[in-house]
Amino acid sequence: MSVLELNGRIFDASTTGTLTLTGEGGAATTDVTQGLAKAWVNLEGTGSGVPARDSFNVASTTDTGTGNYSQTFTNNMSNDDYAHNVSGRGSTVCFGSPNDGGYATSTMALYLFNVSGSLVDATYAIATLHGDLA
Amino acid sequence: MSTLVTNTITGLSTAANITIGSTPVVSASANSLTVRGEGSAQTSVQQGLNKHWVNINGTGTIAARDSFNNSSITDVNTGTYQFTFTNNMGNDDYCAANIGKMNRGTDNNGGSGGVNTADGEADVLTSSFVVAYINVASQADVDVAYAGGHVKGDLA
Repeated sequence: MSVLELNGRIFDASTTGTLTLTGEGGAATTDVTQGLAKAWVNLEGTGSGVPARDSFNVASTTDTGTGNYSQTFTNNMSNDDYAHNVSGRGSTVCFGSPNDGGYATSTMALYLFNVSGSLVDATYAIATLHGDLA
Repeated sequence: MSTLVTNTITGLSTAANITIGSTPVVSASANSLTVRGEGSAQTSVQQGLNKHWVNINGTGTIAARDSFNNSSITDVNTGTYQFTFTNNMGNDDYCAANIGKMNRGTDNNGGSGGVNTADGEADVLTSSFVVAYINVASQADVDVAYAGGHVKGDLA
């Protein structure tokens, strides 16, 4: 038995690689490991170096072109089937998207667009990734 | 190294708290487990977790590449997909975000959009939600190779 029980609420680590926890409503359990973001970044998208303002599991950031940024993970993902969403802040930024070459186990890459679909540098580029760690 | 084998751990001064040194690192109340955050504040583990995520191929016969708490996907119509939860949400006030890979320079398909109501579909339910994708240039609905979503909110 691999359970931590606090006041009737339970962490269950009986299965390797999973940790389950009772949800808010009490009717269902949820997998803590699957629910955790495995990487996130908020970076400065203008100027040189595009440094991360803050991040998690991001070893480095690279400016790969206008509105185009890539990040290297500290701990790699186990596959490239993860789900990451992208957004940004800037006077002309309308929406974000993973780069069309942006799925790899060691890196993720971001696009930021204006309303016309043209790439634009963002003041801040932001991404959150969910998936399976290696 | 020693191993503590037990079924239940109860806090000494407060039954629902585990304290290391003088710092409460884990505490629990009904359906809420909190941990100490990076600073000095406590944060809810449940509220910080994604309750759903999915990455799908939205072209041809649609299929999930990988997912969590996603029981099925439905090709509603061109560029519109419905994701059904395995375990439902407690209400329809959750925060759903969609993902999509932009095929820039080829067809400009895949601009991430919001949840969709244009087709008369119920967009955000406790059991499912809908996302939609357009061609950025033409604004037309379009199937995309990479679609999906994230959900944060309260499980049932």
